[in-house]
Amino acid sequence: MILATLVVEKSPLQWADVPAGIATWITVVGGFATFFLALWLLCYALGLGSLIPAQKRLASIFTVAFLIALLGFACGWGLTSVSRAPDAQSSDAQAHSGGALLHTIGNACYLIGGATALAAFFFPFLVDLVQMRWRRVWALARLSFKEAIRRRVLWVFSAMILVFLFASWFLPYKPEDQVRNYVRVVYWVMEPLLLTTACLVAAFSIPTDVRSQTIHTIVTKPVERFEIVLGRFLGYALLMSLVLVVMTGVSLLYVFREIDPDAKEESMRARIPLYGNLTFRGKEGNYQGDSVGREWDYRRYIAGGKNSPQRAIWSYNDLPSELANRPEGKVPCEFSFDIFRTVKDKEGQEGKGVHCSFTFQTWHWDPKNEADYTRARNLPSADPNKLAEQYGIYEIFYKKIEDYHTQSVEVPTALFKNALNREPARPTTPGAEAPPELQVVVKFESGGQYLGVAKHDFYILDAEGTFAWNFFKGALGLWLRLLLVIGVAVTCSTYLSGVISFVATAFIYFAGLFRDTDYIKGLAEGTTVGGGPMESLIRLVRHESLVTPLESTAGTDFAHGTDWLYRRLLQAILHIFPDVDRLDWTSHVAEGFNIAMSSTVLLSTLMLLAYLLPWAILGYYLMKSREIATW
Amino acid sequence: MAQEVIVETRRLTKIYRDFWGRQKKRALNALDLQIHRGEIFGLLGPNGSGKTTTIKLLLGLLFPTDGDAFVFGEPAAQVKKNERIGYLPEESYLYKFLNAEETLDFYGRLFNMSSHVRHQQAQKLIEMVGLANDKKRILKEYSKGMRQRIGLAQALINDPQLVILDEPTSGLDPLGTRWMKDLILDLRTKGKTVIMCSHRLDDVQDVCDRIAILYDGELQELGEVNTLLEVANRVEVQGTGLPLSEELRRDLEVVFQRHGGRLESVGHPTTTLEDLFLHIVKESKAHPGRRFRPAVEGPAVPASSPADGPSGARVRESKPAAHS
Repeated sequence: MILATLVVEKSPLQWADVPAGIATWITVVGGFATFFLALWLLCYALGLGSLIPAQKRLASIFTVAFLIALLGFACGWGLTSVSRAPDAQSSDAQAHSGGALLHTIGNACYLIGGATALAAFFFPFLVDLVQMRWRRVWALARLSFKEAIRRRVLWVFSAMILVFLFASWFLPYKPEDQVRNYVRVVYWVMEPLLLTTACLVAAFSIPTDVRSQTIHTIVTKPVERFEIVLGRFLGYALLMSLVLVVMTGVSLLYVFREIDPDAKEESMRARIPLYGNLTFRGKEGNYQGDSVGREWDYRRYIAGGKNSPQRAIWSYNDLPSELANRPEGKVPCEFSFDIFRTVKDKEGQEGKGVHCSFTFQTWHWDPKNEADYTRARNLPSADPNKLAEQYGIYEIFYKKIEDYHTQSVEVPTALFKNALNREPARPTTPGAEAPPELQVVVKFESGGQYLGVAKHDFYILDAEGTFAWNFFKGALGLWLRLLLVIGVAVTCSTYLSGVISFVATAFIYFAGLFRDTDYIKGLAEGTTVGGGPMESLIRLVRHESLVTPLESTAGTDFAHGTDWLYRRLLQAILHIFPDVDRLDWTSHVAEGFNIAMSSTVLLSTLMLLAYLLPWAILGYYLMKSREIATW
Repeated sequence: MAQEVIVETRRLTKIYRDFWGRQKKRALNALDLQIHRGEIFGLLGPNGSGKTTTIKLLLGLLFPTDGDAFVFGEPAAQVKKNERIGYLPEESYLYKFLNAEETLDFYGRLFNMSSHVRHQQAQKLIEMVGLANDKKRILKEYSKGMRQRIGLAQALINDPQLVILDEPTSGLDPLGTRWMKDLILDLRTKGKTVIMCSHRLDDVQDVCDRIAILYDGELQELGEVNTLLEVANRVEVQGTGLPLSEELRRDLEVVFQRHGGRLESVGHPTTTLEDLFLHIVKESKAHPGRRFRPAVEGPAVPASSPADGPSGARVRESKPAAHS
């Protein structure tokens, strides 16, 4: 039976990450704000650009804030650099703690610098925010809504979506992939068409107003410039939201029609998985699994064999109590591993397949009881449920594994009762973590082969949601991307022409799709082989190989310094591009996995708001300082 | 009694620059101006003289390069002052996909107007500008004159204290022009201040109290219309109830010479073409079937109505001049 597999290359957002995320946001956006303050002060000093009211007062505030921010960042950089110095990284406890303290103070300096720059950056906006009236914003939003409807741009693209929905008629697929294919087709059709429409209407709105001078009759009313920006954003956001709701509803009906019953049973689901933390155990203490040379290193591998010491272990804490009370008495666990074969099956054993053994053990399990457990297990009257509850262990031996297939095993609820039994309290060692409530130990039994595993390849099936609601939640991801595109396009359009705004928004969006690729990350973090651009140039000129360390000379030191600066700039530039991947939940819906409302949807919304807020403020400045009339 | 200053500019200067900051044109140079409450102020000048630039600076559409502009005592770039301003642009820059009602409703929402007041005001203005029969049609279908009217309506939606009109009679026929001028005069009687930009000098002369003449960004002349137009070294006399004759001419020559002057010409004054046109239209409405008849020999047919127009001219059927 084919079920589903979900590849999760990025760790999902967690609420626990929010404080650190806020700190990073303050530091990064504060850095950009510092740059903006510098640019503003330079223009002011040179008398460039348009004058805005109260400029002199603003210049004083900006100057002070810029100096404090600059000092903060400089101190932060200095202290964190010192903390990374070899002496601070030594194993000597005192030096190490001193290095850690310097690092903490350095980060605090970054935060202070960033926060100061942000406060100055936000200050004029907050002052004007008091003047803002939502009634006017709503009036402008309504205007945008009507304009888009009456200009009929929307209807053309909506008609195109309906045509493309029937494309699946012409795509070959296996019956069991029917739901998966339908879901992917509808999302992949909606996405480019809706995003393009949103980008077009948003990018051309304000420039068209300026060119046709219709904006003159608005700006000469008691309308704050930012209200125009916000009104346009809200109007188009509302419009695209309605379109998306309708499209999603139509798409859902399309998906539900004429589904193969087996495919419906298998894929039209919304699994709520419980993932554990994956670790490995091998001969060495810090064994991390093996690489088999695949380019895509999503999975790590353990060697098979009867005597192989290598194990893949999933650890669980905070198990929901509901697992112990399942009425059916069993809890399904699903998995999908990769098999890397180094030898063919022996003659006569072709197609025999490979096998894994699973050991589910709770923190109550004491290896000293193994003899008792084995004896009890081998009795004819042995009841695995009772043994699981008594000893805290459950084993499945020689489960046949199929490549590219998701499979399931069932674990008695009695085992979870044992895990959730808090008496006696979990033993803890000072300075060490408490043992996990449940561990799943996987051993690969087939010799000469390797088993590839990743954290999300094994999960406990916690609960099930409804497919239809999950389908709409998947559309929420597209909705967030629509907001992203509209927000960036409207901001760009406050200063750039319609075409340039459209192109710029498209570029930013696509760059966001690629910003987390391994190659780009490697460039930004300096982990690419051969070093940065200057070092690479030296290697090219001197015909040095990529892995040979360069001789330390003034020239190579300069090159390393330049490359360091290049990496910092690249890291800063990468922050401009949004993390679009996080807003794409198509795979969840297609593979039948639930999209968690609080951790996925809400956190992603928060992330999007954090990304759009600086753009909004930038739009405020651009619109406020812009001369609406031309000559 | 010192009149309240509504608009004031102090050395207001605007230099247009290119993207690199190089000076391209000095559109306005050190303009000093004061406009008082309740007056109709005209801004005149040829194309490129700085009239529209001045208007745009006052409205905050442009920012000054130097100097200051104040409206109602606040800097021109302040948004709050716009609550008391109405602006009619030269072209009707309105949203063509809206109809008249929707247009006024939209602009009304931008002010602190309740739904009921907004609706009432919109209907009143639509009636006033004569678009009641076309209020459901979108502006894309309107003629230029109709768009000008709805543009005026949006400028008055908030019952402003200062009305800025850029070429208000542009695109209007003589009837519409007369109507617009009467409206402007009516605004003054209500205590509003009007700033009017126009190329049509006769329109400005008819309605404005004071004018400023700009040329190449410089203020060339400023003052009251009557005072500026007065030709001090000439005397004009008008009379009625007597025929034009040679004897009259000789007597007038003697009188002028006695006072040290010289009679230049004597003849019948002319009315304005506008007054003639309006009179004919009025007659046509009052007498359906009225038509032009070529002039015949004999004494002039008396005018069918009393004297019209400010100059006391009389309108009569055309006929060959009867020479005495």
